[in-house]
Amino acid sequence: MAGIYKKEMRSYFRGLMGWVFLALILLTFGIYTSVLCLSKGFADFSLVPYNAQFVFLIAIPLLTMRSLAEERRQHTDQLLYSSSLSSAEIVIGKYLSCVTILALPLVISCLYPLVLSGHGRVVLETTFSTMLAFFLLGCVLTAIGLFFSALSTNQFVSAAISFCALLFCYFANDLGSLLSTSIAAAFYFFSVLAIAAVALLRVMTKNWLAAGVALLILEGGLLLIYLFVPTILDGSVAAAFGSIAVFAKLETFSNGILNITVLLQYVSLAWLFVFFTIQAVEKRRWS
Amino acid sequence: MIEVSGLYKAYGLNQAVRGVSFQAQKGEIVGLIGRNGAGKSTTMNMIAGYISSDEGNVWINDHDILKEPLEAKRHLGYMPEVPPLYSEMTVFKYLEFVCKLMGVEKGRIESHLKGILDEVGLEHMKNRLIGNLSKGYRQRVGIAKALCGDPENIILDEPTSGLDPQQIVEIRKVIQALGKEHTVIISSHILKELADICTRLIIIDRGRVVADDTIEHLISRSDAGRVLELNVKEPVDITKVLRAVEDVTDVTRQSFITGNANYRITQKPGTNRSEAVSRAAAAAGATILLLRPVEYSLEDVFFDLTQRTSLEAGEVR
Repeated sequence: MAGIYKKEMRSYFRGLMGWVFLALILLTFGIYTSVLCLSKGFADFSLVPYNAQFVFLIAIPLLTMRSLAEERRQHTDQLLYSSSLSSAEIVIGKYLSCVTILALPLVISCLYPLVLSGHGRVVLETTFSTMLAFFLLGCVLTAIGLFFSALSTNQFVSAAISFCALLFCYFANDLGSLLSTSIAAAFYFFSVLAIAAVALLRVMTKNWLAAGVALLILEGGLLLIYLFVPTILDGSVAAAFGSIAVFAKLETFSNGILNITVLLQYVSLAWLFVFFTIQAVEKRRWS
Repeated sequence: MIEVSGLYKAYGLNQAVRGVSFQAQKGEIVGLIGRNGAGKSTTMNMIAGYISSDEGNVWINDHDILKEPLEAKRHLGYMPEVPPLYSEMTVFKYLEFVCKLMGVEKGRIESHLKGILDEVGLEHMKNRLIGNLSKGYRQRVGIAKALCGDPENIILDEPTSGLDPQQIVEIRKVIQALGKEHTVIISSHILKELADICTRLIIIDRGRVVADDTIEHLISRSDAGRVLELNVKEPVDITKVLRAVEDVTDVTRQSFITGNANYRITQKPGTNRSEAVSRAAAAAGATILLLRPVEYSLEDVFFDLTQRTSLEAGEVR
């Protein structure tokens, strides 16, 4: 795993991608620090990462797009998967290298509030808790990007899909509020979602029976809930969209709350997508 | 030691490999030959653990590639058809990375790589970027990659593809030297190349093993000796006379304006009626200029065996 990690790190900085990523994050942080803290005189540095989070929409797909997709396109995945490393070690090695590159500009940016605190009062607790949440948000998005990189052989396709997925997460709260809040609408929404999930199951397992049983259980359960305890569905669509809206969760930190639940959600989501990536790699090899 | 048992692999509706089984022992160089799409590379990919089989097992030094993949791969060096190279790395850095993947101790990597670079003739190219190398040198880097970690078993998929004649001879020597201490499986489209270096040949056609034997045995168990070539100066066509000889199943004739004729006489398997044929031809008034069994080359054996499976599969050519 250490070998993969070092090779990836070298590869990022021997090429342009690592430097572009660093420049993009540092430039965004620099602009917001100048505008908010220096020009407008805000003492709350946490506003900088909160406002800068949109940069992830572009930076993360750039960072992760070539990670696994390019290995497949160049057939170098044959080297990795025929070596004495497991798929998990390969994926985790690559993920850690991405996370390290993500951490580098953030560590540099953490110096800004320290410098500013020498010239006035800066709320360092809120600042660093927001920076931690910002980093963990980046970890979640990196895991999502890596997952889409594992699904494609073309790095640009992988970047485009990652961008769409991140954009969906970015606007998830707004999208959720646009949908009808009625119980019937929630029932139809989750029915469609269940059918999509079953279709995915069928594609992955190529097993009609398993897909049929899953569809029966999901749709049957949903129908029973709708008929007998419909209140469960009340507001559930907005809640579902809210759980996807990982960007919006950063707000609580810039409000001065160290929200452990959100931090745990970030860690869990990052782990979940790394797990999905390992499974996607394994599935491709074993199918 | 590599053991393969009942491997099956399908890509959608295309059954690429159908029940491939064989063994390769230490000190053997086993050649895998077949036409394009016969299933050679798929079989090699399954042995190397890059892709899974739908059915069947692969053991590398008694380690099952599915149940103990990491242990099995530790004993295997694999060079795929397209060498998996990072063009932005130098030859040395790339091989160093492969050594790390293969678990070579950090302190031993440099001396280990020196031996490999000397062996494949890459010492003077070790600091060059792989992206700037010619196809022949890339191929050598691929072979060097398979040797990293000093695995006991080596699989080389078309190792001499794209090399010039001089390089082919050099790589052949490398493979022959490897075969003394390792188990080597090598695939190629070129029969002569395999015939020169392999101790055994496995012929694959349509995903099936149609022959697995030494080259001598393959030739001897084919139609060699079944067909006689007879060249005569004849007053009349003697085809009917030759057909009447016991155990002769077929006779074809080709006449020349010089008055000579050439006959190809096919006999029943396991019989030799050259004396009877000679007597019959002489009795018919022909002057025998040449009578000999037709010699079969490895190419004839290959075409004979692969054509048989095509006919069994019902393919019309």
